[in-house]
Amino acid sequence: LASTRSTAGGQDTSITALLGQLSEGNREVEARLIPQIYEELRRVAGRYMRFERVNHTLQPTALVNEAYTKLIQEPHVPWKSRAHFFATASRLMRHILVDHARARRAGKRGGVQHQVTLAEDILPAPGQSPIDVLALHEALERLTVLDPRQGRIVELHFFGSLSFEEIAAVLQVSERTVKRDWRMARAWLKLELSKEP
Amino acid sequence: MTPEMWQRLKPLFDAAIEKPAAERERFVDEVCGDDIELKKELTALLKANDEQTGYIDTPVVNLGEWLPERGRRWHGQSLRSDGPGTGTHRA
Repeated sequence: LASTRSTAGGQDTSITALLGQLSEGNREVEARLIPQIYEELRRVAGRYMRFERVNHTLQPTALVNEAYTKLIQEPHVPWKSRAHFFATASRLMRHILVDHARARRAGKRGGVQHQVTLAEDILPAPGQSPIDVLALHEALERLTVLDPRQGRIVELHFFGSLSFEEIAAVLQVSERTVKRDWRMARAWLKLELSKEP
Repeated sequence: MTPEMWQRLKPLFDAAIEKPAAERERFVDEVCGDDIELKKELTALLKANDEQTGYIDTPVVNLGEWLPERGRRWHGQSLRSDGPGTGTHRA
């Protein structure tokens, strides 16, 4: 993965370039890249968990720590491009949020009273509905049985905010195919989620 | 719903939504024939496609903001009715 940006010292340190070098197996680059990503994530993680339920108990710091831990546990993932990085991150985010939602559900069944301490900026924005992460995850699993590519497209969009262009690059299909799959998956998910209690 | 049924539905759904609303019902009748289950599923999907989907259209985590360069490029894209990446890119 080539990059056109260079530092004064002639060494390209943009994240794009670092990801490219990482995909070529440069572990030293990995050591520089991961903390850089971590810092970015820590800075913004709290602001973008916008639709979790109001009584969400996940702290942004916990999210970041878990994300970071999982990232460094996957050193062999061939991050060939930024798109591939975001694809990895989207799956990571899905797992983090689902694991958290399950733990919260289990805690409720066990009668554990959670002391909720929410950062104000991870509450749903006024007028927006909270999201049931588990319901979406389970619906996505059913969709993936029907059509694995459509399931992946939804994951990349919803948990990674990838564009059509980026999803097409990750899945190595045309943007037109992504758009078609997205449209149908979106309609089906709407039907499935409307069935949830 | 089975994977087999889903694969039958895919081309029919794609074709149907390209047609004007006034022509869809006739198209569905034609392609589904006597297959009641196929017609039921296709009709429901088309109806859902025409409605607002709520939170599905808005990513739960905006990973684009992790990286400032990407965040600038994609910030402001519409992720609503037409799905991800359909908005105008900002320089």
